[in-house]
Amino acid sequence: MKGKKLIYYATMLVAALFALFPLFWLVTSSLKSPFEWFARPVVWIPAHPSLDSYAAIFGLPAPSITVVGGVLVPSFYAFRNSLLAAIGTTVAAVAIGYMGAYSISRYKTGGAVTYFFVLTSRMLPPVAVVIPLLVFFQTLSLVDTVEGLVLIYLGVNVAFVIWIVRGFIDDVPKEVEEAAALDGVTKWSIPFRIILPLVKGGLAASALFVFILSWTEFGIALILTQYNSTTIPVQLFKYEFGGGPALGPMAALSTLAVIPVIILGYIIQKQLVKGLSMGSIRGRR
Amino acid sequence: MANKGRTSWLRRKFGFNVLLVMPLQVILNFVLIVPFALAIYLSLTDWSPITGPWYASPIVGAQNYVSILTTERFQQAIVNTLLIVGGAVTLEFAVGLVLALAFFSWDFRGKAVFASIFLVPMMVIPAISGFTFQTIFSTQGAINDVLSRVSGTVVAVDWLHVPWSALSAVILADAWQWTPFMFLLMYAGMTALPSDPIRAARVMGASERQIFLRIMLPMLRPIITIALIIRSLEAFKIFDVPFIMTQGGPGTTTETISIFLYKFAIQFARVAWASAGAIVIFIAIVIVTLWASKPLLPKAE
Repeated sequence: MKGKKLIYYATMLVAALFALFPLFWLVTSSLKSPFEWFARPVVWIPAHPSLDSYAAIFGLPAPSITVVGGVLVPSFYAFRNSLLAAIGTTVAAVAIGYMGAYSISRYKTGGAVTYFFVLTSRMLPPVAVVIPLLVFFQTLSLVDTVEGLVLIYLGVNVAFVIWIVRGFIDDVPKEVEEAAALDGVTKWSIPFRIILPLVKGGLAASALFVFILSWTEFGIALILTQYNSTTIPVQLFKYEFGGGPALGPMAALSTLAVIPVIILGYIIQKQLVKGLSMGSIRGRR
Repeated sequence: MANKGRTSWLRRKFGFNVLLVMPLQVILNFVLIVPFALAIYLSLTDWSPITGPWYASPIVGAQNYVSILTTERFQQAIVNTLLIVGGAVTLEFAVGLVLALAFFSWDFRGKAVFASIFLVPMMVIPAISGFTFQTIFSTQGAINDVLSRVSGTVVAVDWLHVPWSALSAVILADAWQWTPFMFLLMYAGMTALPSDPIRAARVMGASERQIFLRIMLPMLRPIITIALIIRSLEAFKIFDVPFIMTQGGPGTTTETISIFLYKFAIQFARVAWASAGAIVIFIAIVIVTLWASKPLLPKAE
C-alpha cells in the first residue's frame, strides 16, 4: 500500500516538474547577469540575482547590462498595447458572443449553418485573411493601430465564447424563462437580466480564454503592427534581432507577461475547467 | 410590447433572435468572409504590393493554383505540418489520457494543487514558450548541460540546427503547452461518466484494464473525438513556436504551412501566389473537418 502511494506521488511530481521546468528556466534567466546568460556549464541558479534585466526593458538604469539593439525600445508601450488589445477584444467578444450564443442556444438561429460558420472562423489560417485585411486596413488607416488588432482578434476568437457559453445557456432550464415571462419580464430583458447572472461562470471562463488568446497573439500582430501598436510577443521578437540575443531582458519581459495570466488563471480555475469541459461535453448538442 | 408604436425598422424587419446574432455576423463578415472573398479574387490575379493597386491587376486564372500545388517547398511545408500535428497531438493525447486516468483512479492527496500546476503551461504565451524552448535546446542550453553532467563529457549539440531534432523540439514545445488541455478534457470526461457500469463491472470481477478498455474508453469516445479535432485544427495553423525556435529551418525542415505562407506573402511579397496556397489549405481543412467532425455539429432538429 505504501509503495503504491510512493509511485503515485513520484509520477505526479515528475509530471509537475515537466510542467514547471520551462518556467523555472525563464524566471532564473531573467535574474541572471549578462555573463551568466550563455555560460557553460549552465548557471542554474544565478549567484547574485539581479533585477537589471527588468530595469533595462523599461529604460531604467541597469548597470550590469550594456543595452543592445532593440532593448532601447521602451517596453512600457508594448504592455499598454497588449493590455488594450486584450481588454478591448475580451469585452467586445464576450458581449457579442453572449448575445449570439443566447440566440443560437434558445432559438437555434440559423441552425447548424450558423454554428458551422462560427466554427469555420477557427479553421481559416490567419495568414489567409490577414493579407486582404491589410489591403482593407490601409484604406481605413487601421494598420498599426490597436483598434485594428482588436477587430481581427474579435473575429478570430469570438468563436470560443460561443463554444463555451452556449453549453452553459443550454443547461439553464427553459422554466426559468417561462417564469420570468409570467412575471412580466420582456423577452429583451430576459437574456440580460435573468440568464446572464446564471451563466456568469461560463462568461468568466470564456473571457479569460479570449484574454489569453489576444494577449498572446503573435502572427497577426507581427504582420499588422510596425511600431505604434507593437504588442508584447512582437516586442520580444525585436529583442531577438536587436544585434544579438539579449537573453536576460527577453526572459524578463516574458516573465512579466506570463505571470499575471497564470495568477488570473489560478483565480478562476474552477470556471475555466468547467467552461472548457462544458464546451466539449455539452457544446455538441 | 408597450412601445409597439415606436419599434424601429430593424425590429420590425428581423426577429429578436436574428438581431442578437447580427453583431456576430457583422464582425465575422468584416474580418473573415469579405477578406476571404478578396483573397480568392487576389489568388486569381498576379497582384503583388509592388505592382500597384490590387484592383488594377489583370486576372490570370488558375495559374497560381497550378503553380503552388506543383511547388516542392509547398508540399514539403504540408508534410512538415502533418508531421508536427501528428507527433504533437499524439503525444498530447497519450500523456493527457494517462495522466487523467491516474488522476481519476488513484487515491492520493493534493489533487487540486497538482491540477493547478498541470494547467500552468496552457497559460504561457506561445511565442514565449517558443523562445524558452529555443534557449533550452540551444547549444548553451539546459539539455546539453544535463547531458554533459550525466555523461561526463562536453555535449554541445546544436539541436535546432539538425533536421530531426529541430522537428522533435518543435513537437515537444507544442506538446508541453497543450498536454494540459488534453488532460483537462479527458479528466472532465471521466468524472462525467456514469459510475454504475464501472461499479457493476468491478463487482462482476472485471480487471482494471478491462474496465478501462471495454467500458470507459467507448464512453469517452465523443469527447476524445472532439479533443483530437480541436487540437489538430489549432496545431495545423502552428506558427509562433516553430517560427521563433527555428524560423522554419534548418533549410525548410520545420517550415510549416503558416510559416511558408507568411514568408511568401509578407517577406517575398508574392501575395497572389500565397493566397492561392492559403485557399487550397482552407478548403482541405474544411473538407477534412466536415468529414471528421460530425460530433461537433449540433444534431439536426
